[in-house]
Amino acid sequence: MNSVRLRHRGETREVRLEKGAAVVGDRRIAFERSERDGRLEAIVISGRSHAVVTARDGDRVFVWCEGVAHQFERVRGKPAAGEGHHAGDLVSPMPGRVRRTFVLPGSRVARGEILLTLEAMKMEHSIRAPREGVLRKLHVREGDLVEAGVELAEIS
Amino acid sequence: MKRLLIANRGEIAVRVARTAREMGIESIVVYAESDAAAFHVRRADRAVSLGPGGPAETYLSTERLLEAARGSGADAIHPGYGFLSENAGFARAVDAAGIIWVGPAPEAIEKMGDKLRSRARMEAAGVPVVPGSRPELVDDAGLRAEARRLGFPLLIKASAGGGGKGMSRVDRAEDLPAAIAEGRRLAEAAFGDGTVYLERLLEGCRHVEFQVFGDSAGGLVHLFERECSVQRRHQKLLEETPSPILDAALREAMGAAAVASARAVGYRGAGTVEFLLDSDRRFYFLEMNTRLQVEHPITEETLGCDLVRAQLEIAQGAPLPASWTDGTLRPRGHAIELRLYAEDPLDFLPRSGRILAYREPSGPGVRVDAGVEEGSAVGVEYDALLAKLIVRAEDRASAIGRARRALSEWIVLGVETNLPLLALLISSDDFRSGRYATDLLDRLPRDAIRTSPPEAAWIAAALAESPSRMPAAGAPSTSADPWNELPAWRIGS
Repeated sequence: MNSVRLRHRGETREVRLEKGAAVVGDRRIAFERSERDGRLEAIVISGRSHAVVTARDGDRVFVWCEGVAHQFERVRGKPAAGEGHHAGDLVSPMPGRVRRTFVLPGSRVARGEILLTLEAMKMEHSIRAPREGVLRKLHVREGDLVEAGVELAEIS
Repeated sequence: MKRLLIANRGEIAVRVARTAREMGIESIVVYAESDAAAFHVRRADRAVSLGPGGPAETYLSTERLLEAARGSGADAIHPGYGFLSENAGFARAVDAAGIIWVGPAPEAIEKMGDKLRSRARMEAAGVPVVPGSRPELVDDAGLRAEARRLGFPLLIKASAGGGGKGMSRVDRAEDLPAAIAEGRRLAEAAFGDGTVYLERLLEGCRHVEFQVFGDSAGGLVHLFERECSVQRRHQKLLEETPSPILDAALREAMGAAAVASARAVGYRGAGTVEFLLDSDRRFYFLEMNTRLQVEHPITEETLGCDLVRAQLEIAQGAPLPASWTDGTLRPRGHAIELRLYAEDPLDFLPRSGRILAYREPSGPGVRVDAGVEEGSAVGVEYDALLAKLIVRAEDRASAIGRARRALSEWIVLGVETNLPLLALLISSDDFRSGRYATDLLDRLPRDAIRTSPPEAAWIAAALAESPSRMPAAGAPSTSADPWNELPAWRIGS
């Protein structure tokens, strides 16, 4: 089965590729593809050509389609009931360097308390506790470089 | 001038190197070791390493830059913008090393860099300034008294700041003491000088700046305005010229004030005088940037000149170009610059990564000044500006149409950018009407950016997930049935 699950922001869709058609979610779309030198250049649906450029990096798939760039992520494995793993609400909103940490693991934190500051491209961004609780783990240290979307700490 | 060292990186380093080449001047770019693969490194005649370390040890190191200049036999240094471009100490060190400094005299940089004292200087020169606290009242008691006199809302500004950095808004008297303390702390950390002052916060203002140019003989002109009201986080996003709001009389009054500001500090070279323009069309001096601006190309496009060339000639003692001083200079058409940033288009937080696919727009009236290419790494150490799109057309409506068209051709994959925001902005009624102020972005229904991809994009993404099924390279094909050639899909990892 030529099927792949793709996520775009909060939305996950299954795309199944068949002969001359794709099933996107529950819609079957007949299409042709136009390519040059092995590179996909357009998706033709009902005679209308939609220019595309694609690029991949691991499970991330980038598609430029008629003037707009979209980022998809390939979702692997079985769909977990209720979307399974809870990603955590303390993830880095941007890439950057950990400039300062303010709270030690084991301490109680109030909702809104600044846990650490990230610095990127000359701007500083405070990471605050999303809720009251105990800081169980701090996954980063001062000076660390972090990517966007990385879990920084755990509060319970 | 035979050999010009460019003490910068990114698009501006490439921009300066281009003009140097046109003038037959050898160009030398510098780079931090971690930046060795950067775009600008291969866009000049020579590239010199500044060694290991972050920006502070490299692009901001007077010592290493002078070493690079001496080692490469450079006889001039162009600082670009940012980094050390407005650092009087660096300008002095360059002078002292017997190297031509492409910029104003260190004293002029110093006078304008002290934002608090430059306000007083401008008032003395007859240039209106935003009502604010007096330079001698910088302690707690003085600032509190001045706050009562000025009224709220207020802005707390760092005297050593500028460019929209190091300022915060205060709405109530009871919040003032804490805000002053925080302002001092941030100013000390960011600029090494904790002095802050107060300015009345003028709402509904536009931000209009004038390009000025001076020569060593005391000649001074303005090269018309740039409308810079479209901002996010107090940083510019889009600029246009002419400003849709200025008429001839206001343009003349502001232009004269800009020249008076520059004259008050004995200005030489390229500079920009920034003004706030309120809804009653009163204008106030905000600050002067003693360097080339990011948005200088829109002036170049409407005047048909090269501001970097003028900088390099004036630095060698040449007078202002005759066509600038004989009273015939008039802008032609309309130009817009749109800044491409690696950032989330909604919350403006920076993004990093590698640019996996990159194609620039082209065609009539389109110019791209870029600091990246396909394969470039976008890190977190430097400014998030990737490139600038500059369009010019005969009138404003055509320039807007041209900008929309060009944006739709710009392909950047791999790193999230603000392209969707720029597209939304340029098409918005508020922008098109020309009646906008610095709050334009807050008024836009920006959530419209977060649309679900069209079905063609989902299909293309699914196709991209299986690269090996592509047919052998060869004749272009439009295949009605591509699936016959596909090997089995890869499922799982």
